[in-house]
Amino acid sequence: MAASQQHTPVEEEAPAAARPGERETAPGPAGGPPASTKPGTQKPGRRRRVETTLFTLPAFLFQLSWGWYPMIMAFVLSFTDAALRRPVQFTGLESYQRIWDDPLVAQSFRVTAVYTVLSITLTFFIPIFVAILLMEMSRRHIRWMMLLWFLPLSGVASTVLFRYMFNAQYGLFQWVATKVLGLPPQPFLNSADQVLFWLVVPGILFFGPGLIYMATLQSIPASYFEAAEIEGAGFWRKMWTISLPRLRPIISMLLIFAIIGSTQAFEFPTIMTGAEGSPGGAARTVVMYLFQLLQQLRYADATALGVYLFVITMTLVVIQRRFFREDPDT
Amino acid sequence: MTTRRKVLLGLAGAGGAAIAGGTIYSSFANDDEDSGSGSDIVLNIGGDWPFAVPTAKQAKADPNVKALSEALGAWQDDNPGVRLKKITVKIWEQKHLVTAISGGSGPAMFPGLVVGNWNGGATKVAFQQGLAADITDLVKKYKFDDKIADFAKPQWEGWPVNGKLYCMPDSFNAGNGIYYRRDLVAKKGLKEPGLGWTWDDLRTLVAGLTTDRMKGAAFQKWGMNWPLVAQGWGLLTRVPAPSQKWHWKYDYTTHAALWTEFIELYRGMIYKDKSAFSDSTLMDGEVTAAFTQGRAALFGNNIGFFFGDPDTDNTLPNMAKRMDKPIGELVGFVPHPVGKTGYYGASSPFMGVTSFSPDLSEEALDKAVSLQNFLTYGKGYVIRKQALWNETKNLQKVYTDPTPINGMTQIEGIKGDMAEAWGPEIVKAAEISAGLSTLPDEGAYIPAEKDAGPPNTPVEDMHSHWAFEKGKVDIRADLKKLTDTHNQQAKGFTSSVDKADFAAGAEKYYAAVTEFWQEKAPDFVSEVLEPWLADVVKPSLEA
Amino acid sequence: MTAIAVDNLVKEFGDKRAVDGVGFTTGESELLVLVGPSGCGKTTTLRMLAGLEPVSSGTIRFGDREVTDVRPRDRSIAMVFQDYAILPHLTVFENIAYGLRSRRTPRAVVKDKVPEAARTFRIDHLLDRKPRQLSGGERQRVALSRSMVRDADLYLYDEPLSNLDAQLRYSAREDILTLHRRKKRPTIYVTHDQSEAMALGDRIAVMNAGRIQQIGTGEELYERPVNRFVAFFIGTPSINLFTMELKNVDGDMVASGCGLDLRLPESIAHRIRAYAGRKIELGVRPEHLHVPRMAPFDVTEDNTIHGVVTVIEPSATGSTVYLSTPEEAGAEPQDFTATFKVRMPASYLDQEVPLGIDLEKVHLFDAETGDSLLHGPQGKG
Repeated sequence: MAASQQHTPVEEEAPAAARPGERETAPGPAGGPPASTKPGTQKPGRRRRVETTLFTLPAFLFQLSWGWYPMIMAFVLSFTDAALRRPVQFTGLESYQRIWDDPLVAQSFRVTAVYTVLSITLTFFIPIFVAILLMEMSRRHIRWMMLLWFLPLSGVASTVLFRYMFNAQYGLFQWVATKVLGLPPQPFLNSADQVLFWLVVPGILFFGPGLIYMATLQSIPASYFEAAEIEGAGFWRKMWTISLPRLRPIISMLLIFAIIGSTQAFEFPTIMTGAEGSPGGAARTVVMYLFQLLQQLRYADATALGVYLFVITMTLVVIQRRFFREDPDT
Repeated sequence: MTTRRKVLLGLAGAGGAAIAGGTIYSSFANDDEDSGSGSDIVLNIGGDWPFAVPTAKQAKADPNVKALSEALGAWQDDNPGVRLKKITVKIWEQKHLVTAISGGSGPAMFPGLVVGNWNGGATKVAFQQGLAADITDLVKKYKFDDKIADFAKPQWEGWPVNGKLYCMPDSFNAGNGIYYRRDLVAKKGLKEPGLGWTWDDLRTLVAGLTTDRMKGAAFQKWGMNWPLVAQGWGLLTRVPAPSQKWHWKYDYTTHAALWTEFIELYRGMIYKDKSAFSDSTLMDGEVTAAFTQGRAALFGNNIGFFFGDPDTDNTLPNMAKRMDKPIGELVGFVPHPVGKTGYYGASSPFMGVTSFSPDLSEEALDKAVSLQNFLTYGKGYVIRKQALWNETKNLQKVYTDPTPINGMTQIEGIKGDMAEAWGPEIVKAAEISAGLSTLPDEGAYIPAEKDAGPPNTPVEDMHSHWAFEKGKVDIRADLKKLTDTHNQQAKGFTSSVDKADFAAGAEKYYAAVTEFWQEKAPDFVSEVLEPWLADVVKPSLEA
Repeated sequence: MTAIAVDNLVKEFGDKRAVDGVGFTTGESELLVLVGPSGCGKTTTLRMLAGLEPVSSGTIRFGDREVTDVRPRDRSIAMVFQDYAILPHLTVFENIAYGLRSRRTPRAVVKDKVPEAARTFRIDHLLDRKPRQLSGGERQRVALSRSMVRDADLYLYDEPLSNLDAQLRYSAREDILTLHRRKKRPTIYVTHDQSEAMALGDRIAVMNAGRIQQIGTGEELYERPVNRFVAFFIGTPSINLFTMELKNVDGDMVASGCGLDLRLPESIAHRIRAYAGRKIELGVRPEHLHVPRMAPFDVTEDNTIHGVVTVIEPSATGSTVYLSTPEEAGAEPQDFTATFKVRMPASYLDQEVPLGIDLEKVHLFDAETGDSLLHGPQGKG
């Protein structure tokens, strides 16, 4: 008690300066507990554990009930006939076999693979270079470009907008092709060879991760570039030795998202090609096919397909992690 | 029950495959609603279908709601102790509805075809999976067989599933056909199409209607289906094979010549004549808009498109109003053209059905069917139409269905009938369309499967390929590939129907088909059907 | 050999003139320190020399070559940044070799030069490490090594020691001087720390408000500051300034104010007679205040200041004492500082003591303009 009475006036007089060390260390485990602090802090370890558990419990339960439980149930379900209002019967690997043998499944995986490669090349890698180039431009240009990338255009609304732009009769793209570029009428989404490409194109401008790249680039200390400039580095060398290495962690992370995102492409191709992935299923991704299975009430088959997709996606992510090992220096 | 429900809930969450990205919204079932117990019966009405449960306040403000309120009141007087409860469910979306029913929280009644995503076969599979109540006895009790209009009867015969009924008829659509600009046909001196016209006639007509600013026709993305069906696609592309694990095999090559000819005809209109346009994004709405906005002189759809709201953009009545011409003079409607040997198929009328929650008690189920009966065939229907008339005094807004399933084209207390509302031409067109005999439905002969079997997806893929691929297409190779793909898919399925039952049913079915077409298109029977039955179907059935 | 000539350099950011007509030249192997408070324009000047900041007007010449609009990489300069700007994902070796590789130096040369430079700065055993694994001082030496491996026409330092602790600064200064002596090229060094400037610079340019106030050796700046700012900025603790009035009392010049009447010696008085009757500021460096019995001159009424001791700060070489003039009618008490070669006992706290002012060494400034009355701006330019 005596000690605390002595402390108080000192702290009142000069709270900022007086014994700053003690004020800082008081709640921590290292500093000796001053008389005025609560007794609970004397065993911080246990209390912290309880607190940690309490704080993480809701998230854990949420993840359990909405993340893992359905996932495990889906897995279990894929080994049954998933009958809706009949007793469920285990069917072993029947669904897996049926899905494995379905030529359209193979086609949908091919489509998804092409879509993934296209979309990662066009909407993932290109913006890296665009962003690096933009950083060389004036602040005004940078701001406009960031605005464009930031526009919340990725909803269903813009998808519908693009559907009209791609319309082969009166769409804007057709007008550009025929009236501006003087080309013969283009089939756009009506061609099996072109449809995936055109599905990816809007992503270059609008849905790309360019904004994140630019933000990351802007966070690189300017002195790195200045030092490099003084040391005689040109544009390419600066990009290769500074921009890209500094972007590496974000590229790595976004690449995972991009892989997951494009292997699970559904919404955009569905609306753009009218659910069937026409023409000829050339734009029918795995998830679109999965959705068709659901519509045919083939729940077991749909979950089996989901498991296949999950395995492949996980494999891709694991491979990606191998290539992009965590680098503590960045 | 609990365990199963748990599994189903799991399905609800998981079917969406947290794994795969799709989602099925789970609807949490309340505890079993024992709608039968106690004095009160509660009927859950979901998604404002077949009506929005009215509140007293709404009834005061809106004469329509007042009429509904009155009608329901009349029904409730006869059925004391029944309460109607409004619940929220997206009744028009398959996954939502199926999930709700599976979880036990579905509405008391729902549009039956939704559970099969508008596919008759899939709907029957869903029925067998237990997604709808068996109402065979109630159908008898309420005498729906007698109440439906004559034109709808053949359609109704296709709905029993292995002898049981899981739905009641609630609406009838006189079928698909071709809308065309009568005024332009007359102006250019072209031949007006009529029943029995051919696809060559259509091609000529479309070419004649084409101008610089207007294409002769606009086709939905699935337009390729029509000429093929007219040639017998669907009937001739499946061969019963009871010896196989899955009792059907697919064969698109035997009649390759038939298909090739009409695929080329359709492609010829688009790519050679440049008289028609289609697009992988064109749906009903876009095509109708092209027609009403004068970008196309012809399009195909069901007859219901005549009866849109005159005050809404891009409806045919609105177009007539805008151009200040009677709609019957401006727009004509004719069943689809027939194939080379007189076969037809795309025009078939179409029936809507109501199904009921499998969780209803016997008593509640009876009340639910009684209510829908009252609103569809009984006094409820009349009360509401009368109220509409009193409010609008517009016959076009009262008679919105040229072929009402209850046959009521004239209602007491309303000055005027169907013909007066829409003009004699349209009523005649509807009569012709409705009068087209319905093709024999295999469901009436062959026992229904528990699983839907291989989907139609590969066929749709090929159709869109043929319709939209601008360059050269190798149709014969495509047909071969389609055959392989579809049969490969079929391998994964096992029929639930006994081999012998299937074979017997199939024989009866093909006999009915032969008999039907013998009358309608004898050329088809002699040139196509009989040789095929003898050379292909018979050996396969006997194998 | 190249020397640097900067003429009338101006940098405007919007309406603000960050650098306002800076000009100087350097000798061929001179180390010039730009020193000044933050925001004075010294770093901007340096960045213009490096080419990192475009020039609003004025010229920069490296010897015969005008480089005003030349890109940084074509200027032949080496620079050490405040944060060292060494790339975290490259090894020490690659960081040092960065400039050589940019300029396509043959591999063999790189292999020779890099370890040699690293050895100079005692980091040759760290060549395979990543910067993350180095201490602050080691990182700094990597940056120095990077400058060392190249033969530049101009070496630039942007506050390179500000991130180091006091101990390391001394050795780092030595390293910088080592580099400078090896290269014998003009070097511009920017710092806000005047003691660092004094320690390193052949000459020092004091900057304030975008302008160079004075250029000269440390001694010149210290002993002959051309204005109040330079006098105040150079020297620790800072010079004591007293606002006073100059009076001519029977032919003697007397500065009076703050309760003092100081009779200025003839060596000073004859230069300022014209200022009689005007307000001036009188500057006395803390070491020119002496305890009367130890003063190297006679302490009389005319050169004594009284002060109440408020704080005594002992140091290795003596003590720094903070005082305040006693409260007297007509004068606000004023704080001032004195340094002594001896330790002042704590018992003097709160005591009033007399101190002798070495009037031969005082500085006088115009109270309005701040310009020195004694030393013209001869050091400028």
